[in-house]
Amino acid sequence: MKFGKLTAKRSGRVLIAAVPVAIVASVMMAGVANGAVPVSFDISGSQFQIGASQLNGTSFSQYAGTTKDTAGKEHSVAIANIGSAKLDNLCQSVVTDTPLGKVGLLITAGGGGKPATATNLQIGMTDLKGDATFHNIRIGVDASKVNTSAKGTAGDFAQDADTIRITNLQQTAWSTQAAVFNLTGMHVQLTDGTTCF
Amino acid sequence: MTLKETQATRPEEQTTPDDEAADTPQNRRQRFGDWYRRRPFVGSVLTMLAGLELFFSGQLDLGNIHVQVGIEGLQSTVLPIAMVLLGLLAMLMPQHRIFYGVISLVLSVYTLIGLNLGGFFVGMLLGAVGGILTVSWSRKDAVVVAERSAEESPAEPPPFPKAPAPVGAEPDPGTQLAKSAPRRRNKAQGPVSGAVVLMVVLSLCGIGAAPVPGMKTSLCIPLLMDCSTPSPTPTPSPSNGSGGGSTGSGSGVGGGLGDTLGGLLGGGSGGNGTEKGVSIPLSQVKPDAQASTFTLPAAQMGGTSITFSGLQSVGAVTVPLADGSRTPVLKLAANDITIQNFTLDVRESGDESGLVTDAGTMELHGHVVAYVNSVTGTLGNGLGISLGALTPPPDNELPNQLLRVTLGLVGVTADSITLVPSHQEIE
Repeated sequence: MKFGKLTAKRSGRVLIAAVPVAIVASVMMAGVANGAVPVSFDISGSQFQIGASQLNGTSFSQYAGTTKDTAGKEHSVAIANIGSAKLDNLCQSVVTDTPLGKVGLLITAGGGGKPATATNLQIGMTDLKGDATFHNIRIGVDASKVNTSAKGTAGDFAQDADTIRITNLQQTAWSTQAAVFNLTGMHVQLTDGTTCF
Repeated sequence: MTLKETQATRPEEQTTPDDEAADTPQNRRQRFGDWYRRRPFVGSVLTMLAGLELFFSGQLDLGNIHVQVGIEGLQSTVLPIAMVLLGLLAMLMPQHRIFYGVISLVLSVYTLIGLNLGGFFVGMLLGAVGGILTVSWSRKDAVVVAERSAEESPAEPPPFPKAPAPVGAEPDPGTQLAKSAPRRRNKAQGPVSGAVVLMVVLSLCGIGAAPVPGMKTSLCIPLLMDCSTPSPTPTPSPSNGSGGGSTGSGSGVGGGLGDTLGGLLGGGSGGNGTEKGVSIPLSQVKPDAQASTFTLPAAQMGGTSITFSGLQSVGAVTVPLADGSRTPVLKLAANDITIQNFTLDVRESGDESGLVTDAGTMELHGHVVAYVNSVTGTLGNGLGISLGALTPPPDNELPNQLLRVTLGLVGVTADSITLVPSHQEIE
């Protein structure tokens, strides 16, 4: 009868509805922010920056490709695939000019020795700086014969490697996709144009 | 319009012909008041707004940031549509409000991981508040409000159910005493706002909990998240590939082209004091069984110096191309190769954009095998050297160091390669 009493009043019904929602929502948010609940990234349409103090990946390949921006214009990019990646101190930033000035979004994750992880990461990049080490690398292999599941067009120059490690990664890209992205210690902030580097 | 239609299709709702006849603004407002009091109006509207917000969050122009789970595009379309429909249905069929409300509550929580972080939290909050209001709405409460307002304005004789209640009219606390037992005062505002605040606070706690060091990161809720090692659907490459033209270069004429190219580069670029390779016929070149499938044209690789250590062999071989033909190359096998001021240009011609890699030092370690179709450089004694795929060096020997070197790099494999500091750029 207690339930009936509770549902008799609107306040009781509101409580019954709100409390589970609040609990589940907060657990999920905590999970996302801790990297326990994977989200997936699909960013495209404008140029943005990716920074990381260290990237460790397996199953790497890179070849030529194109991507489209929001206006439909094609851009040449180098497509980098990483089967699974760990990113320490990941930073992603994008800045857009609006009538009210510059507005940017800055996402940081993977700090404090708990790297963000991603699987089936595909980045369409135009610029990459860092100190890179590859293991079991093949440079010049045909893009249609690379070792990753995503492949390029036959006849294109490509490279692949079993493992990749880039320190002080600074990358400018047009698109990023990751089937699963665990954002450990995620922090999203709206900025006035602050970038990662 | 919609209002009348809805009323017409709902015979159980009491509509009075007089009302519909008189189309004064006051009457219209009154009818709308009746109509809207008979359904969880605010909750439905909020749910529909949540759907719209979620939809537009996917089209956000702020750099088009999407944070999504699962099959891309499906959820970003289906979830907003479902939210709008649920809101609409809850409004049109208030008797099913609990069902629609609960579904929209579940969906709005799911959008948190399913769609752009719940439309950047806004859509998720709108949907959750709307769902809560829908679920908690009851006809009785609404009727009480209507009746109370009616009592406050006795000029209107028929108090129920079409009494005029100005939207948001605060009931007089005094009239509450006059109510019979089951008619409770509508105290929704207090608890509703309280619950909303509670939910927002809890949600924010969730975000705040993120940096707590003790928080277990391997927390796993099987139905909500992928607990096993994720095996996501591979996303098709967005690229069309830029170099369609290069495919044909190797077909059929691959060997011959490489032959000419090798001969030209090998013999042509030599000036005074240049050591040239010895020409060998293509028929003597043996296939390399271990070679990967490479591509043509070769990338231009340059460096101020290239140093070989443990150079094992230099010789002409043929390597396969993607189209099945083979091309002759000069194969260099060494333990280690170090290149200073390394550049690698994969552009096929000068005007096309392509990837250019450079590095201060490039070190290749362990089982280094380089396949080149041209080598030009300077020896330590100032003498130039020029080799091609079919013009290998005399006695298949190379000095341990070449300066100001340019290679037509078909491919290279190694146990490990280090580039410090490296810079890749589309030029």
